[in-house]
Amino acid sequence: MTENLGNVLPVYVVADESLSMSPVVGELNAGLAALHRALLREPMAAAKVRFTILGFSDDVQVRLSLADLRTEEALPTLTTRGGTRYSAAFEALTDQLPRDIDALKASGYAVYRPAVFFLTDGQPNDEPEWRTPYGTLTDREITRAAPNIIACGIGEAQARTIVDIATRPEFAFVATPGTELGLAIAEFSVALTKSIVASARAAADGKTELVVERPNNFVMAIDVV
Amino acid sequence: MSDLTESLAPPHAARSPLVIGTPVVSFEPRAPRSRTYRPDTVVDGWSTGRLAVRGGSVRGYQHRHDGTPRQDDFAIAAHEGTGAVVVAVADGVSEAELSHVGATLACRTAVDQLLRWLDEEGGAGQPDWADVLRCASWALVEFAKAQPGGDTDTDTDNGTEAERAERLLATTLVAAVVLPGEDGTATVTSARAGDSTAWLLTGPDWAELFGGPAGELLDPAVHALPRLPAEIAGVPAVLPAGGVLLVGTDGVGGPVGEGRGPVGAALAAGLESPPSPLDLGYLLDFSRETFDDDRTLVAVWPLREADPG
Repeated sequence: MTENLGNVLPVYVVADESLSMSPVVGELNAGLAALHRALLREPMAAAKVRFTILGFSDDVQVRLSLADLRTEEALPTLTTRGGTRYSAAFEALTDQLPRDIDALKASGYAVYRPAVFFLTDGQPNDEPEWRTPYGTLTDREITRAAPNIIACGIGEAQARTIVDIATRPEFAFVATPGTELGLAIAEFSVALTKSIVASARAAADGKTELVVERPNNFVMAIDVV
Repeated sequence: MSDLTESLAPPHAARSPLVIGTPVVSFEPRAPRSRTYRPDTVVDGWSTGRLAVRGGSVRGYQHRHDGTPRQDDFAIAAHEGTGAVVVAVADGVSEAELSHVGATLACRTAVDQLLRWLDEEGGAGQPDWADVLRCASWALVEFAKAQPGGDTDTDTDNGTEAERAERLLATTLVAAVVLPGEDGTATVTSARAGDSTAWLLTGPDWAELFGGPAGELLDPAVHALPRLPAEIAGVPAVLPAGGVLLVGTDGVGGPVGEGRGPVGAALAAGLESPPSPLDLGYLLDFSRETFDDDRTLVAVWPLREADPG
């Protein structure tokens, strides 16, 4: 990195547009609009995010690509169509993510690990076939840009599937009936976006040790806080 | 709160921040949520006659916006017997609730330990860096023990307390000892835990003391005290006449990159000779979109003996 133009976080909203989503597609669109508004209230986070929306059913359609939401008037509207092929979504991401990251880096940006917000009712038609392309996408040995996947269950969501899709247990989110879905998605997404770019402790590994013994030379400095 | 803060003009708008590229949006910072007093900005500076030192630590724009305290800190000291200057810089890990306290504890403990080493050894050889970092870690453990909320049944279990210190106080640390040499040069020894770093800046050229290739992706996960790398070695360097040692956090290192962009150029120009401490604070507080982390930088210049600094 000779000159770092900025630190950017590619965010992918991957929305289930299958017909089973019909009862909740209105809420889903409201959720996207709420997410847009919520992000604009967080100017530091908004400046870092490059936003892509993929709608999937039997295939994947790009609704928005690496957009700066601060300059978007409104987000595209999702519609419902066809079946629910998770494989299509995960294959598209495996193809798209490395290319997007290379493009951002070629433009001079430093790039955070991408975040995928996967919005679905958790009822795929291609169970269990989707688990193979999912494994390819999330294995950092195979896909260096393997994303953090945040799974949001909507409608009559199958919680088990949602948990399986999320790359960490705390990244699984199922909207409870009666909550305002759009707002819930927006708040959850913005909080996660901020936490993804905040510094965290690296996982313990064999190359580090926790100091658990008082060193012989230790003296409490007298002027400490 | 947002209505009030956003309706106010930026503070003391007579002097706007230094803008490099696209600025961060303008807003009135929120009060930091911290039970201990934590100023937004700290600057310091003095000279020993052989070395001039300036330090600055500014709260990042994201933390100002969120009402989070500045999690970076630094400490500097002069050692009378040897003429050495001791520097420590730390970056508290956001995930740890009291990491701003951890950063302060780590810096002050490291400086204290290094001054003791100078007392005892007069600056000959290298400090026992592993021991210095271990002591800084232990300060976190001791502090964590005194905090409410610990499990009283296991208060005597150091392993549990160390884990609690890690959750509450985790922080990076980079420390350095600078000894003045002949003809306006100086020798440096430095060590670190985590991603805070040090550079030798000569004219416009930035040379990082701690190597290692940049990762493919930005990784916010850091190894931090009280967890130590299994192998710790001091990195020696010679600071040439006209050069400056810089010790800083990734809030500076990120926008500087390899130093060939506008941030590297602005800092190099501003640090060609020791600025006033307030000017260093102003320089560090530059506004550049997406660079909103806390920023801390300590600079040490060797002076020729006749130079009053």
